[in-house]
Amino acid sequence: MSAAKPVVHVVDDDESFRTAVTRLLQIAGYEVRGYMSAGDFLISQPGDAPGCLLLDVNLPGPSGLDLQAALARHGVSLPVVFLTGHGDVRTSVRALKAGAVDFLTKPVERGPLLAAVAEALARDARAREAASRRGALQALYDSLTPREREVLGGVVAGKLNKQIAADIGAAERTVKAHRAQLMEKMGVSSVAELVRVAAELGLTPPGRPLG
Amino acid sequence: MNRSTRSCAAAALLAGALCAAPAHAAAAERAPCRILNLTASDRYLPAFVALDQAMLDVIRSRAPCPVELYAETLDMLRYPQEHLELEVVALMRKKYGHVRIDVVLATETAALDFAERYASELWPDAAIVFHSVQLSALRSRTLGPRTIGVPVRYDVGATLELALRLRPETRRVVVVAGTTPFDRDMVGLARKALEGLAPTLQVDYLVDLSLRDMLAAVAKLPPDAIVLYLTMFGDGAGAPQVPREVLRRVAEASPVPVFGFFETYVGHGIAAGAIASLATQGRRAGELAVRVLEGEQPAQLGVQAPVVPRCIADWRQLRRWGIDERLLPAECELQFKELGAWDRYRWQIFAALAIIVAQSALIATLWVQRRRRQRAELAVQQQLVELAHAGRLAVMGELTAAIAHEVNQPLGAILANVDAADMLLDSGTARLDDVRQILADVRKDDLRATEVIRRLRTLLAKHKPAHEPLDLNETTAEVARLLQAEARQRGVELVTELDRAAPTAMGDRVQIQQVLLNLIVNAMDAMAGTPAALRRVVVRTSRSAEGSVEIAVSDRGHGIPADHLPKLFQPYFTTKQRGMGLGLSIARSIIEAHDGRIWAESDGEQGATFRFTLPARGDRPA
Repeated sequence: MSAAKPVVHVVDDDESFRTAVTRLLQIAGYEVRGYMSAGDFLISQPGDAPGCLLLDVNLPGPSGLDLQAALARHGVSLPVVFLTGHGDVRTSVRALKAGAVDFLTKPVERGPLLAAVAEALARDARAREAASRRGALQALYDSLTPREREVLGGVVAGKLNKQIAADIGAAERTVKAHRAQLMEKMGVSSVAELVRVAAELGLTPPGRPLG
Repeated sequence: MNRSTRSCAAAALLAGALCAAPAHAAAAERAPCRILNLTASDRYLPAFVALDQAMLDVIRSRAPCPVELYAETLDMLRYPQEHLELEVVALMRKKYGHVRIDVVLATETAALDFAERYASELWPDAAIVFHSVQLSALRSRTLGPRTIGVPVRYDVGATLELALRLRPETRRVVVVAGTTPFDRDMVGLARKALEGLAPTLQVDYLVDLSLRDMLAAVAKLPPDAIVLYLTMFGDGAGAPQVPREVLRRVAEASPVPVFGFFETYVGHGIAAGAIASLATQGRRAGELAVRVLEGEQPAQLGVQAPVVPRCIADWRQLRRWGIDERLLPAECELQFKELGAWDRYRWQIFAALAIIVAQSALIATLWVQRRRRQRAELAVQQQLVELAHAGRLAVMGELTAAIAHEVNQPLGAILANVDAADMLLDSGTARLDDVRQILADVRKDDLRATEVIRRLRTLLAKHKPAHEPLDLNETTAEVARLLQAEARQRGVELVTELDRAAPTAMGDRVQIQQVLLNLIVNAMDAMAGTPAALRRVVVRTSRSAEGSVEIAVSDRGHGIPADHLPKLFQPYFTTKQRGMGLGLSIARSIIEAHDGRIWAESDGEQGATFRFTLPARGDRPA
């Protein structure tokens, strides 16, 4: 987890609006960076730092929606709050479907704006936390032997030891040993806990190993 | 007959020759009648000239015999007879010793006296016919048996009565006359007539003064006086005078009207008078002579009744003295009346009026037609205004999104700034400079929003088309600014290429902007199917070959099919799903109302270009 302060990236070609919003967010305590166009933003290489995007729909050159799509393609997962001078339903639906946090119309009140930014940053933080936790679990999972993973799949699928033993062609006692071993490796103390972790890792109930 | 008689008479008058009147062919066989015209004073006095004319006319035309006319002038006024009389008589005895005179025409008392005195010696067979002898002078004398005539009555009383009728305010009568015996006779006559006529009137006599002194005295007369002018053959200084000339000067000098009773004074200064007609006197004397020639006995004819004076007035004098002509007696003869324009030019006035009426009618008709045409033109203009307005509303309606964006941008900034300031103040750490900076930004954005609204309002308002100098570069730039947001939303690059050398045009800014709006929006519409990277509209201003301004709007759209080109500017022609097809037809109406031209060119698949030209402002140097 990065300790860096989250950054609100404001992309709007209207300098005066950009200045005003930047000013507002800074006073609200955020780190803010402004960009004139989608291109400006991409060139600045925001990297993987935490933050969110406050994006004008109508930009010279590639539009806000274009930028949103491009970021998604490049795996940049910054949450996007759209701002537009004139929002039509079609555009807003398209933006929200593509994962936008909110679609605000100028002039926007402080309340909704700050709420949307807070929500976006929270979502980013949550995503980052989820991502790092998943990474840790994956490492644990990676430490399991193939046989233990097979047993894990069976346990998560709710099978009895006897059934698992039959499935993998091993003695029931061997299965019990693997089971204890993998519970310990995964750091869980109950089957319920193991099922939740497996779900987080995206392991499907039928117990097929991750591809 | 009259002509030949008269020319004969003239010849007779000049040469004293026999004149045979053809109308009296029988008379030609008779012995000629000899007539002697005897005048006591100047025979060229205007009165005698007028009288003789009438008298001799009658004699010549009616005498039963050829007339031989003789003339003698005693001129006694200038040469008192006692000095010359013997010599004159001697001369006449020689002249008339062998001539038988039939009639002696005696003018005035002096001539009558002379004739009566010497007739038996000089003209024993002649009858004496007198005229211009006052009736009063006859009363005290006995006339010879062969003496007859027409006396004259100078009617001082009637003249004064007339004067008082015309000038009721008169309190004083000033009698002006000369010092010759004739003049004194006249004064005596007047004195007798005026005596006791009106006891309230003061009567003064200016009769012994020199002409100059008399005129000076007349000039000082008070307004309640009148002048009664008699005669002045000689003034108090003994200088001979012509009465009518004296009258003229008296009338000039006098501050009050002058009255008199000689016909020859009429038109020379008197306002009015009771006047015995000279022509009547002459005619009647002539008639008397003719009757004698015809054989009537003088004794039987006797002295005739005098000619009755009649009222004669001079219109110019009445006007000069402010006398109302309606005061004149009904039978009074008003002479020298200047006819009014109406009396004089009645037919010309009628004709002029008719022409004026006809012209006025023509002018009125033309004016009405002009008004009608103006009204029709106005109606058409008004329709164009309405239509253009509707067109603007329509095109602006399509641009709502972009316009909202234009307005919301500054509004958004303002709100954000205000919120920022609010939070800054809440935080308690606000620095004055920061707040001031924020306020400055708010102000700037507010003005920006206002400017957008102003531009919109100008375009949306219904307005009266102006005719003013138009910088088309500026006009184009403003439209481009307005459409930038729309262009961005559509992913179109909107570019202007403005030629600084393009001349100024004349016209209505809003209407020309409307044409540009239409053409640019059309251009963007045409590129809906064009790849995003190629969407580009170029608006170019330039100076055309003929010196006008040309504006071209080029797109990279689908172009225009050749068969659509001629129909583009017709009303209701459209290829769009939406739209009435009025935009370009309105654009054409606007451009044509500006004396310009608008047309389209298709570049095939490369796009299309719409161009219009506007005449350059006249006074702009080429």
